[in-house]
Amino acid sequence: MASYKEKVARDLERWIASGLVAPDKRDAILATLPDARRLDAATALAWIGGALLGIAIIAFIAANWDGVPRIARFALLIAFFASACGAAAWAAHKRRTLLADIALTVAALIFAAAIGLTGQIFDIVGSPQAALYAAGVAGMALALAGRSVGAAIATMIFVGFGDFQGAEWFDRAQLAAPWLVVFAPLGVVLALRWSSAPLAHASAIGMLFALFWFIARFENESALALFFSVLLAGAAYAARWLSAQHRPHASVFYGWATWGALMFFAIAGYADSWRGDFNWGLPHRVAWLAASGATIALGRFDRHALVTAVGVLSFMGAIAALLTDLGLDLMSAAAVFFVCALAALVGGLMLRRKGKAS
Amino acid sequence: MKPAWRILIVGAICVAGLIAMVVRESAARASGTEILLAMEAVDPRALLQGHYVSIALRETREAPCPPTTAGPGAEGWVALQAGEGGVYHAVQGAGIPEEAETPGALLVRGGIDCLDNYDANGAPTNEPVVVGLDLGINAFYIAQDEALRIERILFEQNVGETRAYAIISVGRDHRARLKGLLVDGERLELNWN
Repeated sequence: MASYKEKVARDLERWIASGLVAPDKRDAILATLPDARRLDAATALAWIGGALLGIAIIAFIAANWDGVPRIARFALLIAFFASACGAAAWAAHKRRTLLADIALTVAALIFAAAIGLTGQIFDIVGSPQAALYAAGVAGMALALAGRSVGAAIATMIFVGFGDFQGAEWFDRAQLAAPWLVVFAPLGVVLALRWSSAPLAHASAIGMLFALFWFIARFENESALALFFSVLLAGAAYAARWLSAQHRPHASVFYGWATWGALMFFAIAGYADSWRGDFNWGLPHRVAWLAASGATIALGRFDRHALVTAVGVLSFMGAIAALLTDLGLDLMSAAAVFFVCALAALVGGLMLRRKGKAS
Repeated sequence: MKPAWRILIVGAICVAGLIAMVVRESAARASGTEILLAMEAVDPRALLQGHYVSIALRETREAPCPPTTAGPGAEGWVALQAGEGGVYHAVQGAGIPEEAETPGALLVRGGIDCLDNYDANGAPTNEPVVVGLDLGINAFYIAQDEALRIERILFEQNVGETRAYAIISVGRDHRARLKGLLVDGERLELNWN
């Protein structure tokens, strides 16, 4: 696959040929771009060898786990965790940021496993939720200590699982709010400070899960879902504006906020009927269909793949919901879809005329 | 502070936390009041779950069920009274400790799961009832061979016969901690080896 530098080199040839760029500027421009990192065969073999050695050690320990004394098992866990932390510290000292990030992510995962395995080794009874939260807190501490994006993402996952732990989620938890309410915004701040797109994605998804927690936890779900939908639509609008100002990662939040707005709008139409109360019915589905269509158009206009994909998925969901609501009454379905199609066509024509006029 | 030092300090705190958890739990287990509770076999599919004994604190006894105002989950309170051979039985359950408290009984965090039997007219019968206890303990981790042997014994138990007991320590925090199992008179305890 061509690297970014190679693509720019090709474009430069075109720009030089069209007279947009002076030929003597070619080398100076290309010099500003770093060469793509290539993994040489020796390094690749070293990585493969290291991975295979790790698997061999894990398999050997697993085969002899029953015969290993409890205290030795515990010591092994601590040794693995300490090794990962030591490797991360060494890598950070040598300014090998990627290696430090990987080692810290591994350390966060080992610590999460160590909590569960320690409970098993010493038959300690504890709440799985508390174990996941403890893993989350440790993961975030490691992430902050070494600026590790991987450990921060692992934290979001641990805390998210903790918030939704168990079949009787909220009876046992007795929580006033999910922990993601704190961790997801913290992830957003770190994503912006560290300029990390993966963490921006993970934090944005974490925010949606935190809002969904409230919908599942409290009564009056429809009103709350609608409120979140409006809130997220506003957030999507703000993120879109920031994206237009070329603010880093605003585009990521724009996509996920749009996703959330449509998802909560869809939930709002069903939440009360799940309880056997008021059913919003056809008007909701038509509004959902219209909102999905508008989102597709917006996604195409902004050339935003996530927004377009969200719109398409939501559109399919709205159609399925409408057909389910109308049952086998195909005449009604035809009428509803005809009116929607007419509205879309008229809207499109009006937009085109306005565009031509301006 | 340099990142390397920060990482090492956080790592050390995490290790200290793990060790503290083990030491605290071991101390609480050693200092608690030791009791025996009857065990019965659980779903045979649990056999497939690996090297541990699935624990169901359950006994079949004469009606009626012990009264309780709480759910069967481990968040409530249960009063346990000593019976023959030092085996304890649930006598009262409740959502708050004051309601569960019974003179001469040991109070522990947990719930009772029991259903009385009724005849066709809705009157309670004297048929034996199965009293289940959820004290938050559901497994004992040991070597696979030993786990399978104990599971077999549990399944071979006849109705009314109890060959396996859970040895439980009830700490000052009223939490139940598993110390081991008593199987056919053989004591299998959790130790450092």
